[in-house]
Amino acid sequence: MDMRRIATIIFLAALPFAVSAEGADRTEHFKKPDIKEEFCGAKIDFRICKCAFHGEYCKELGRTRNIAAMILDTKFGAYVSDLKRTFQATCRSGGGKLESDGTRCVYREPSKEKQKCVPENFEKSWKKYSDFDDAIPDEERSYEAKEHRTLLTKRVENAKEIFLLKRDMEIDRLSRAELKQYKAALVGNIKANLLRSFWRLAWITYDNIQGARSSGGTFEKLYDLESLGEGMAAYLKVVRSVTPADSKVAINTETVSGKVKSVGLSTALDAIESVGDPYAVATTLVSESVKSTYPSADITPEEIEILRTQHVKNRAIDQIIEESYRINRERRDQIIALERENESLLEAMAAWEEKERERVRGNIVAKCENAPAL
Amino acid sequence: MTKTQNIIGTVIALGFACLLAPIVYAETLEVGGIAITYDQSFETDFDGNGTSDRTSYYAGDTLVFTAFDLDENGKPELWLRYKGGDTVDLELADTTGDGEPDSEVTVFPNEKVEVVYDESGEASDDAAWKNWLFVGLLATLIAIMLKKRFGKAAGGATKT
Repeated sequence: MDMRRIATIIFLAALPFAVSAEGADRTEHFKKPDIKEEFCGAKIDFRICKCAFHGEYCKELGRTRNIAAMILDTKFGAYVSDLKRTFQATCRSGGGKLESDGTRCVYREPSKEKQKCVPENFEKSWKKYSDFDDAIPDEERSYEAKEHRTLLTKRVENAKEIFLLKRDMEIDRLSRAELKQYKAALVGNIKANLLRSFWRLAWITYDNIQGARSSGGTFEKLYDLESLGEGMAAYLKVVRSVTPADSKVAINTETVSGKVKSVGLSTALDAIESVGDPYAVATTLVSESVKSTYPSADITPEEIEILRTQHVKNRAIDQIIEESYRINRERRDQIIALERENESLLEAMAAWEEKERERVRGNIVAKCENAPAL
Repeated sequence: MTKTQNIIGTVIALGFACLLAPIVYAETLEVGGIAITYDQSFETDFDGNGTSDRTSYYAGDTLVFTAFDLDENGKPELWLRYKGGDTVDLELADTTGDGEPDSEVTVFPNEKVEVVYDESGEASDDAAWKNWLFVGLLATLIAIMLKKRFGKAAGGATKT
């Protein structure tokens, strides 16, 4: 091989290492903690590790080695995920770019050449030069801004859904608490308490039906009119007649959409919060049922015995409790899935923000370079 | 023995039998390493579609455990344990269909939860990794075979 060829190869190999138009980069790597050195004993009971790795202390824990291994795997995985999320948030807030599946953060320093065209506080104020402006019609925005808006719309929808699911979970939980009071009153044959709990549960159930809650059906099984005596059926009709027409549960989530149209998506996520805390909404409904004065009812001991047979001996109350917990577990799984999706959307939005930032920087630099020299 | 003594003796014997009956008839169910003692169980078709979708386990009159067969294939996929007959304190779930729980969740009275273990995503991740490895090996094998085949053909052409 002659000297010219060798020199060409060396030159081509060295090219990537030459100072680029982009300038120098600083890189930080996410360091995964060591499970034995940094986790066992420090963040988790050391016996779980001993059981998982060596089969020791398993009897003391009341767990098999296999299950201890699953527990350790799950807890360590969650710990590493938390650390990774902190690393990624620090990277983003510092103006860095995440690479290699979020385990490497690259801080790119623009070259001095390009810096002289860019305003001094560009990194903090670039958005005012961008198309991330609710006043700009969608069709006039840059491609990057449009993609960002699509993802933000999805995040808002997910946030609304999470709100409704949390509200429904809390309503079911509070209803179950009332159901337990009802069962105790039935078993103890305390007529006044029985009627009060029956009234409150019916109030909540009919409000839910009016509010078109997706799973209002679980507690309805208590009110199968064919199984109730005449006195209780009549009592139930009174509840229906006095339950207010406007449901406490039917929160107007359209106010969120309204805010989206009037002030734009950038405040939409705040608008979700303006609808109210889902747990407070649920509590309001139940407290309304408590406030309303329940009437007396002409109910015979035989009718109470019918209720006891249907609801306690025939296990109707237990079945409702089982179903309510099952449905709440489904809701919880949905919330987790939506929250995970929102995290992914946030990452994707950050990537589009960065692209928009670079587009804006490029425009500023291009204008500056094309400006006629004075 | 007088008639009265006979009757008293019989009543006492029956009383002991009633006390012992739950112990004699108690059974234990084990799911995911969790043991549940019960003395009766009931199958229920809650949605009224003609197929049992859950089995409820009782110790006396107290609900202690429910096994849900969510897809109605005869095997439960979700189990709930109760405290005091009406408050769930533990959830177990099987997402892989092998009959063994792959997740366990502790449920607190305010219904906040803490995941004890959750391997429900593991099987599918492993499967994906193995699939890619298989594709890679297959591609390599095909490339080697093609190289041999066309290498031979080129060698033959050169010779002629």
